[in-house]
Amino acid sequence: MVPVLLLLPIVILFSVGYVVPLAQLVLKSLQHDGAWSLNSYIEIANSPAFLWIVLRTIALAATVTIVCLLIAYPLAYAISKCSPRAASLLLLIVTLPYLTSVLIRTYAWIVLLSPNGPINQLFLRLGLISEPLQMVFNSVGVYVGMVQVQLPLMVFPLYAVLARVDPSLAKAAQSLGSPPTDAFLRVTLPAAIPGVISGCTLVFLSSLGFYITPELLGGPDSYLIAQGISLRVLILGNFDEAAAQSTILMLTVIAVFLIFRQRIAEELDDRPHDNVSPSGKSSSGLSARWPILERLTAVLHGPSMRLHEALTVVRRPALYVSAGLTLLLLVLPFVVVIPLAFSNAPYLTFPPPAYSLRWFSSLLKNTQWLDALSFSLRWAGLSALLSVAIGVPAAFALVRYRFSARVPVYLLLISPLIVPHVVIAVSLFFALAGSSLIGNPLAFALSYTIIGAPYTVVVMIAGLKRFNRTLELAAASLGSSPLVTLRTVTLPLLLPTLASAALFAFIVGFDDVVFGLFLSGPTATPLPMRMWDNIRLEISPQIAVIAVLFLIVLALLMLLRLFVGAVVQGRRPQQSLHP
Amino acid sequence: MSVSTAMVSEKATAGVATSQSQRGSVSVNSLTKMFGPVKAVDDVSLSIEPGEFVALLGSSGSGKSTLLMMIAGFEVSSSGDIMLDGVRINDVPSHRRGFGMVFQSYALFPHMTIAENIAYPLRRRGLRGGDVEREVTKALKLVALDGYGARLPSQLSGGQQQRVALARALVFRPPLLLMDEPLGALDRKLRQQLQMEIKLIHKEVGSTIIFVTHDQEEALSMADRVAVLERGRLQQCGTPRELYEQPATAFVADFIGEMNFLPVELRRSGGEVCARSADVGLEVVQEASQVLTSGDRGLLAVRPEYIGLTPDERATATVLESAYTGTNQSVLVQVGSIRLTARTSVSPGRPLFQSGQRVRVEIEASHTRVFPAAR
Repeated sequence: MVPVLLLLPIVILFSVGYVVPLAQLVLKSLQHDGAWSLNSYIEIANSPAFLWIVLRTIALAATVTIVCLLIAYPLAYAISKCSPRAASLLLLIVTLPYLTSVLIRTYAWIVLLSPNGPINQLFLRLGLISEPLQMVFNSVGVYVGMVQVQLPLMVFPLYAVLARVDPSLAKAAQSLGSPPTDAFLRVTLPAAIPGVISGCTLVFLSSLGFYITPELLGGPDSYLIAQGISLRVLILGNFDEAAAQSTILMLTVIAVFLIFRQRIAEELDDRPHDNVSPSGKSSSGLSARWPILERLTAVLHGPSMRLHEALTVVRRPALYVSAGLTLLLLVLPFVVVIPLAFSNAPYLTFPPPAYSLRWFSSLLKNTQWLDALSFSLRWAGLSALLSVAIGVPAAFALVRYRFSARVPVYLLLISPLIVPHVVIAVSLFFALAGSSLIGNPLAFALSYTIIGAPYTVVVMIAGLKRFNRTLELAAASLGSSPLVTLRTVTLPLLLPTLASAALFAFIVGFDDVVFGLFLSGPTATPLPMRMWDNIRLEISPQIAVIAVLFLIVLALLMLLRLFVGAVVQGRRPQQSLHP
Repeated sequence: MSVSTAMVSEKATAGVATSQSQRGSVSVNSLTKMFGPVKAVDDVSLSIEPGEFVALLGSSGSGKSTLLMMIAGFEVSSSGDIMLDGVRINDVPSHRRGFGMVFQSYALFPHMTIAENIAYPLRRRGLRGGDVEREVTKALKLVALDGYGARLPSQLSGGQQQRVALARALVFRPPLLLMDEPLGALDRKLRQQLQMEIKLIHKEVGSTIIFVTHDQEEALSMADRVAVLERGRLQQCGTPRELYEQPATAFVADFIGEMNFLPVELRRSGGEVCARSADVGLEVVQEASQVLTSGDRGLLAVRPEYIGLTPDERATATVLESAYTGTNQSVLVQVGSIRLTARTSVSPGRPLFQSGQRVRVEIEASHTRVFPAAR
């Protein structure tokens, strides 16, 4: 009974604003001229252009995933080997881009990669190239931008598993005769498999439906599926095909998601995570099944050990160089954006010829920008509060109670993290079409809450699982009723978690472009829509100013979060810094 | 200093406590706890007098913690009764039972100062202002932490934190104090020091104490009575001396102190039973009422200190290994197909036993007990 009550608000909101519109979208794709028909699917299947788009999208998502894995692993591994203090600082550097608007980062890449941008200038000066490389408005730009945008999604799960691997396991392997690289391959790497799987799943799924970066960095002839959908809705008015394509994209994503749901639902588990490889199939088990492998390993043993010994020498430098380059990739956009904000040039050029505050004052004089800013602050803020209000009770229900629908409900509540925003936005656009809600701030409040609440649920679940419940038992033994315990012990201790949850939910709404594309109206234009138009139409240093202001606010919020954490954790900031 | 003169609101134990001065008698009748098909606590009955200090002793998985959690109200029993001063309290929620509880992990609220932690149960009972302050000061004094009130738990050592937890659990003068392995996280020296302090505090406040531990030494040295649990069943509850000298089951005999077990054949005649060990060439006659088995095979239990060794070149027993511990020497002896551990006192001038030495083994029949063969 209690979990039902706790889950009721979020389930109602998700049903009305998310499940029903998506269901309507699927139904719409199965109709043509008001009758049941597979017409839209037949059209799509007969269109070679669409097949190319699908192939291009899958190839991009797969490549981005592999590149992210290859460069994120050394970084995550290096962070896991750092002292807690250094690790929390490095994680902050990884988190910062994750929390910064995709628009801002994409804008920075346009600057960085442009024909007269700093990268081309550097290469020209080094004599590596004789004329500027075309790296933007084609697939190079899309790949670079996507990797940078998705990288944190790979680093976090990898770090989470690597930090849990008992370092004495690798040492034990070494003491038993494995050179360090061999110990790494046999002990550390298998233990990281769960993180590799969840990181790859996240990056791949997120890349499949990505819209902003390909649209801004890509060329006109390299459309991806999300762009195809929005084009059909916003420009061509071909709603049936858009519905069919959205359905295909959504079902693909959900299918992949469900295949890996075991891993994802594990987050709900109370059991301590195993340090050891969960597969249980060791390499020796394999060679026992195939005697030929056994023989091969024996033959190769000598050379392979010598190779491992040789690798051991370059292992550390290679690790640190690779981790350093990856960190550089993550922070590069900020290196460009910050000086750009203080440019005195009337147009975009890097490095700025001279510095001034002209773009700051132009922002303050422009009521359009200010209106958009206040709109975004207001409605993203309201949605963040709403997300916390419905997400926190849901997290309590999911962590503290056992009921049969627990895992399905959890998957439903976190699914907006996975289902492409383009699909959700299109479904809302169709559901609200004709009503006065298009161009109404309430539509934004609803959609920001739907994409923000999953973050509050996930953050709160993690916080509640870490929470030491003995404290609640202690409070009960001291005469405190459950509600008083909640007020005096549980919530005060979870305050930092609540702050993080609210921060995430706020940023998700504040950054949104995709819902803005479909739901904006003359009286409802969020800030990212203004930025979007600016980047597409004139691309001025104005965006850099907003980026700098955004970074300042973000830094202030993080400091506040640290402060709250410090107060709660017994005034020991170094502890609350470390996740 | 006596805490019992201070005033605490009678709301403290509303609904469960009687106003008698001798509160805190606990009895558990046929209590069972099922986790799925597993009986974590299996038909346990136990009765504890007011002011008594009882230890629940067992290895992990014995059910001792589950039993404590049921008494505390954190686990719901599957069947059976829990009575406090004659009132059934199974259905009273934990926060209304009014028992103090000390956890192994201390469970101090990290966001509150020491004083706020100790004031917590008082505030839940409606105390305000100066009353709270006075009680907190007294409680801190009781655990010898005067002046620590303004600190945070993280600024205290483990031993100090556990003393705060004790003060917090006692400040509202509960009729019953439950302690769940309270010293398990501390190092040996600190543990021994706190064992003494807890005994002294027990004398001072007079609450009934139920103390869970897996450390038999701790249980024997602290408790008035020890209840030994194994696989959910109560094996025996008695004074430390009873457990040591008259173990009721082979498990208790083995668990408490050191014990040798010899396989024996049993022959009954009249009111007596004769246990014969082929290996040692030993016959022990005991009254049938003392022999706890009905079969014709049994185990003879004898403690190392009741096995006498005499050097004898013609004897068949051989010393395998020995360990000198100052006043005693432990000697491992091979007798036929079995091995026995004997403990002999060392007297000045007499040589120690050496490996390979032949010895004659004598067992004092009056200090043996016979148990069923299948342990």
